[in-house]
Amino acid sequence: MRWTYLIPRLLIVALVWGFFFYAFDPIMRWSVTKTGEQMNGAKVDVAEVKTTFFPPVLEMTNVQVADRGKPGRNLLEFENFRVKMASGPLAHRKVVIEEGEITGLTFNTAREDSGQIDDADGFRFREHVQLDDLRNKIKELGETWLQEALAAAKSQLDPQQLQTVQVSQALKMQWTARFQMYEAKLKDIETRVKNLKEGVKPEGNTLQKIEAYRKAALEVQNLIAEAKQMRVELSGLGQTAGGDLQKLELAKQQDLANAKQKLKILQLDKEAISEALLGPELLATLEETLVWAKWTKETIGPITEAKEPTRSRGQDVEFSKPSDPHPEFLIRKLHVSGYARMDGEMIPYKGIIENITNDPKRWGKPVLLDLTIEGASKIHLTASIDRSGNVPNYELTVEYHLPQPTTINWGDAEKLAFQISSRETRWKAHVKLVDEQFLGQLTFQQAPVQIVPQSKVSSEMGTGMVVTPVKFEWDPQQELHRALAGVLGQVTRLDAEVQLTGSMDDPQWTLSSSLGPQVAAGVESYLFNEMTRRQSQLVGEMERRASEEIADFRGVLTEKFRNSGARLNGTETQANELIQKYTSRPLDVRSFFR
Amino acid sequence: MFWLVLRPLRFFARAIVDQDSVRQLALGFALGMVVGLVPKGNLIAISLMMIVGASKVNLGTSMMGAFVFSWVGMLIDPISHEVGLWLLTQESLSGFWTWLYNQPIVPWTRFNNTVVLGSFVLGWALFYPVYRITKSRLTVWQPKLAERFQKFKLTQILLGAEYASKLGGA
Repeated sequence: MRWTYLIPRLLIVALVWGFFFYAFDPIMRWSVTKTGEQMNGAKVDVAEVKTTFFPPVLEMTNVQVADRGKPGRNLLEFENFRVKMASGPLAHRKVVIEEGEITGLTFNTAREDSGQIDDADGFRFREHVQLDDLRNKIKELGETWLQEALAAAKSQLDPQQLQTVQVSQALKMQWTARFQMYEAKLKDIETRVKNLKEGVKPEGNTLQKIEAYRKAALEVQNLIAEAKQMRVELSGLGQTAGGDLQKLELAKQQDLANAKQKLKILQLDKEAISEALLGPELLATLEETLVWAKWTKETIGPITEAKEPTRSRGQDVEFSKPSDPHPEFLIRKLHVSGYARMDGEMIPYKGIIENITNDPKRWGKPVLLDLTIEGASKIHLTASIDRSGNVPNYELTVEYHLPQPTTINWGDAEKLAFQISSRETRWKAHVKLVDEQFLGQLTFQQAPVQIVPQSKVSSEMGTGMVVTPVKFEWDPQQELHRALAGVLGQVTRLDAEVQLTGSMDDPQWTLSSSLGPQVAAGVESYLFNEMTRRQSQLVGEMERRASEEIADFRGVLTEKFRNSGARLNGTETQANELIQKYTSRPLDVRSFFR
Repeated sequence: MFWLVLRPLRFFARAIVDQDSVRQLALGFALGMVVGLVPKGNLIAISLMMIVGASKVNLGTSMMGAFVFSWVGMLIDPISHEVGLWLLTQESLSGFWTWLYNQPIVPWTRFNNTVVLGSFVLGWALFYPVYRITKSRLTVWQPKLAERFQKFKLTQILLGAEYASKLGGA
């Protein structure tokens, strides 16, 4: 026996066997850990790696992948990862896993150490999405559509809009100024008459006295002439007043004609109403959709990126057949299960990820993700990540179903508020991401729903439609709340469709829903009927008000004229008396000769 | 049990001091050179090691050759890369390479790597010169080495044990 030949060789065989039996798995574990840390930029902890060659199976247990953006947290961890490799492609140095399984996959869990590697770059996975611009826009809409509706309603029957009122007020101002002017003139005349009455004390000789009296008489005659002139003018004013009264009458007729015309139907902004009423709920839905989209892009996406080959000595020249689609690494189907944190609770999920590869362009098929999370709500997430082109395309569909009652409070109790109760909520979002651009559609449904007004105004109104005596001055806000309460009380289902564009950081939406048109039609109809009811009563009220204005105006004129006339008469009488006084003094001729 | 561990060491010592194994020593060293030049972690390297193990060459000198030329291989990587690149990019060989690469197991040899192929080719190109040089040198050095080796206590112990076992067998 050639022991010198055999024994060393047997020794080598024993060493090789020992290596694969005892050392291969620990070396694999070390290799997986180091490679994982290089790719992840943070610690990767692997408890155990088991391999078998026949069949070729790889199994890893208790793996934690630290999150390099969050010290003390894991990006993901799983209990067990088991894959069986296909032998055929393995013979061609291609790791193709037909079907694998990963269990206990959980994201964002706590770890005992920081998990950081000092020289790693940091990045953050955003768990929350801020949509402040949209939120502010919805809040503004909630305030403006109501104000616009109130303004439109009020303008239709605002007393200050009446021509009669406007013309009357203008004429009053004119006549007041006119009479003030005549008042001043008359007062002046009266003052001069009074002065003349008291003041003429002629002195000097007879001729001088005669002159003084003559001047006084002339002055009185002037005053009388002025008074007569004023009387003529005042008489002329009568005609003017008559013309102005005619104007008032015409204004009144016009007001009546306008009031009898069909009231202009209020046109409420249906889209604004839909957006204002459904916006807050849809915003929450959009935020959740964006969170899932970001999670898919930032967690699943990097796993599916084409990886740079490990640097080795030399350069690899490719000789694969073009017809061979298999990349160097491919997992055709991976069953995943684990727990997802939602609303503070750990909810179980399960799903399948397909076509995970290091060379998506060669493989040519997108990574497909199908996850179902069943907690209080059921979420079904399907995603497609296509990296076969130059720019990665993400397509995501999220279906959400909550078969439980929910209640949300909408609005501001001081202005307009409602409580919306629903037994079931469903929504579905379909989103496409190309580069940073975002395109999608979201459909939302809640049924059956019950909407109950909560605002302070409505609480003062009482229940039901109360027919109260119509007042000319009315509060459109109360009527609007009453209309809304009636219309929304009949709503049994909420649905909406939202078209999404923009980017993930700044999404834009266009919302359409049957709620807006339903509310708008209901409110417009109610207000129109209400105003029509008021119209017939308000016509009489308007006529009465117009007649009052005219009578008031007429009365003012009459009183002014009477006063002015009486004072003129008094002034003229005094002036004539003065004339008599100054012109009938006896003349002492003898005084000429003394 | 003790003899089973000791025997390979005895045979190694005997190979050094035995003048009849110069050819085996040189062959072992030359084969070790080829193994050393080729980068590890591929089927070519493993196959070469298996050839070394299976052939009647001295494993000691082949390990020594592999060790020495592993370092030399890293230094001559640029040359290996150029040789390998030239070979792999020849149009006339393209069909052959493609056919070869698509055979089962062959991709594990990493022959499509420029340094692997270049080192492999360089190794075999240098095999005969290295064998001849090594053999001629060992022919001169081996008696001197044997003389020196015999002076080592360890060698005496090992050889003594060898003779002891022969006597014991007789």
